[in-house]
Amino acid sequence: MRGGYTPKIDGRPSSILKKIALSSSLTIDLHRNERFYKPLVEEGQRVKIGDLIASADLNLLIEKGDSIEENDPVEKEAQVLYLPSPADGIIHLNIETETGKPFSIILSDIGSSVDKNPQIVKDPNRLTPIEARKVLVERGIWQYIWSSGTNGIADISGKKKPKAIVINTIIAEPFRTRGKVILNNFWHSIIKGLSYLPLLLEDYGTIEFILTEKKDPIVQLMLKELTGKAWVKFHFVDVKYPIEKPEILNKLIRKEKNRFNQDNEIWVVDIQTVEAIGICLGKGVPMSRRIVAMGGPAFPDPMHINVRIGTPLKDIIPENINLNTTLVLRGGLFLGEPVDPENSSVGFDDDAFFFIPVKQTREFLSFIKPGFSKRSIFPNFAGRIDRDLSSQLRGELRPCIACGKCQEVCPVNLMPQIIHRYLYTDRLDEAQKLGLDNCIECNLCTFVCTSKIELKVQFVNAKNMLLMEQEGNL
Amino acid sequence: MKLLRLFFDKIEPLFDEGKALSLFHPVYSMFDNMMFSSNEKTPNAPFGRDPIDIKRYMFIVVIALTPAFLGSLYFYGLRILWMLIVSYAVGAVVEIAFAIIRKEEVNEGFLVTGFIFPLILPPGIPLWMVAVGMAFGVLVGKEVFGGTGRNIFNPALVGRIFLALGYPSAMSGSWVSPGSGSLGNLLKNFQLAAPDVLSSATPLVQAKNGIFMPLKDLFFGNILGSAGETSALLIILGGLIVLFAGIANWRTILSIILSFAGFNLLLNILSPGTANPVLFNMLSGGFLFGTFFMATDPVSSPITISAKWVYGIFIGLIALLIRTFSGFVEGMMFAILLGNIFSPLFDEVVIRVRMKHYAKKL
Ligand code: SF4
Ligand code: SF4
Repeated sequence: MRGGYTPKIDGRPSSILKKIALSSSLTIDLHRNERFYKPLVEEGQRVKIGDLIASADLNLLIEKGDSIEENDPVEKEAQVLYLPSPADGIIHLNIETETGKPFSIILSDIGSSVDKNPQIVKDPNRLTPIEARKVLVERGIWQYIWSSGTNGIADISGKKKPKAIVINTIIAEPFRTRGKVILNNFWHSIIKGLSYLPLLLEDYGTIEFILTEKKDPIVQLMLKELTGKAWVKFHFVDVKYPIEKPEILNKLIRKEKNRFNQDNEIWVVDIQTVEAIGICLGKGVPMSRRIVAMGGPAFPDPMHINVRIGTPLKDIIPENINLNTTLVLRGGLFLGEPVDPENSSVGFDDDAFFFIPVKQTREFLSFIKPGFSKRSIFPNFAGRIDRDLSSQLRGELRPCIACGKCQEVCPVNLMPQIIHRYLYTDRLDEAQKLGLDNCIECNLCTFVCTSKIELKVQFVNAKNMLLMEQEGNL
Repeated sequence: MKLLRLFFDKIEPLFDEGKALSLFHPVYSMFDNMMFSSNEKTPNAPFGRDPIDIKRYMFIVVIALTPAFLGSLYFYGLRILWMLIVSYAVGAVVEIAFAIIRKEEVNEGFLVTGFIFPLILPPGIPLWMVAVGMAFGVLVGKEVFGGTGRNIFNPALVGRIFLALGYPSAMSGSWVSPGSGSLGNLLKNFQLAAPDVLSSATPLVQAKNGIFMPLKDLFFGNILGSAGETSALLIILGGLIVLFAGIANWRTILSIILSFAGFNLLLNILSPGTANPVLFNMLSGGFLFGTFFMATDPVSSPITISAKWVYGIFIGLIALLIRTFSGFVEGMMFAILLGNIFSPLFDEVVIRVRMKHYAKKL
């Protein structure tokens, strides 16, 4: 990857993994990542862990014309995602008063049983690919699999199989769950999960491990365990955001000469998913908990937690955090969006909560204050307040001064400053010709911009406009 | 500082829309922004941003220019301070006037322009010329294009070239012999009027006549020259600051130096005696100052990274050609100006190449 950048930020979670006790009630949001889940359960119904409680259509954007026919029930059934219940309990549906649509499911009277479903536990050699896919979908794991073919969640039908599955252990965004924490704590489930992955692969497909630090003991252990297996390959890369973006990993793997052609699909999963596959197919346990990084400058003891899905944030945020002066992000610093800590819970796909201090203070002549700060992409002078990350913009919006940093950090080699200039003068097609569609929306350019321009937002808006134009033309 | 803040908060409503002073809101927000860090919130993800902003960016350049500025005080006395004050005052007035006309915020760009300008002038020129040059530079070099970020020329450079063309005798004959010893001229020359000026020749003029100043004098500053260009040592010191802070693009600096020195060497080999010796050429006149502080001005240099290489090579070559083959002894200023003129073209070529690349991929 060219470009990329990881800033120095306080509050990096330690590798301590703390287990969080089961809460008295769990909340499962039905609207996540622009996808609406429909409840499959009724008010007052008692469910067991692993029972399917909601589903959503996986609207795949399948390219090259072989779209899913609306009236092909077999195909359609094959493309549904499920959420399993993360615990035993009684269902309550939260309905939006205006639309009458349910927006979340509350589980109360939680039972602590993590009962396994031994029927689905089978040796990898005896499991068929169809069975494996079905289990992964119904146990809520499929949604973590990214595919280059759909540029999103992988096709479930089994028509498309990947030539390679990339397992990423590196997260550079401050601060999401580190692969090493998972590797250290769940070694056995990971090895187990690994043994099932070939079921998803195309014939002679490979597993590609993305690692850093060859000397790390756990990496050494893995190398020892897996060398000699010709279908496992290792790649050592630098920890630099946004290396973890599947689009970047996909490109990285494809760079190797003569291994892949354009029609080959590559799937990307993170190590937490491999672990989940291990305990799901190996022990029959559904997706019911997440390893989540709790960090950021406003979090007192940054660490990782092992938490049941649906746990209210109230229960995992320490009491000594003043929520009036803290902005809580769901996700890491670059891509996280604010959540209301009073009314949110840990979702199926969460792996981080980032705590940013909200500052109101305005520092006197901070740009002159001594203190050479290496925390900026330009090592520069910054006052005490300005030196530390906060929810302040830390500057004023100005016209682009062409400092060039956005181009330097862009991981897909775009020229954000030029695209911005084109968009500013409404030259949408010029922007598109300059590769606007390749933007992976990593937010790095916006983060470093000296003039505090909302580059990514402009790019997303322009992309949407182009999409609408295209649809209008069809 | 609390009191100052209270004062600001108190007077702010006076500048609101529809109020008596609303026209002067840019002035208020300029002082407000200068004195206190911004309290604006991040509107979108990422919800925390890098601490860099334009003020800091510009201020690092000011810091980097400080050695050369202090040096000029030592060499030529406090008069340089008067020049600086005039330059800043005129720059700010023009900037504010245009901010009011355009109903925009005052841009921090003049922080640097106002500081650079006196340093590239002969130390003995009358103060009114500083004012006229600055006004012209900011007006024509920047404001007519729409202000910082939209200008294609370096405003300080435009001002300097305007003076050079408008008042050639003053610009080439207002040298002051630099002070030396422990205090230099530090305590002298604080009168507003121009001091006794010498019209004797700068090292580059002398070189035309075959007399080469010792490199040591060029390096430490025992020569006649523009206020801030006297000592190569101090310029390099500041240059290293902008270089390591990442404010000046290293590609521009490296390519100018390599191209200038490379072509110079080539010329000296092919036709000995045509051009000055390489080191002499590099240490004299405005070459180093121009390379580190003027050619690297991000707004007026190319915007794309690859074009910066071409731009640097272009400037180095042109500066050498002007110095060697034209009647002008200086060359750097015109070379940078030409570079500024051609930068959009360099950019355009890079952009077209990139577009072709994407078109092929589809
Ligand atoms: S958001 Fe897009 S343009 Fe900006 S750095 Fe990321 S990929 Fe490049
Ligand atoms: S980072 Fe911002 S100011 Fe710098 S070139 Fe990019 S858009 Fe312009």
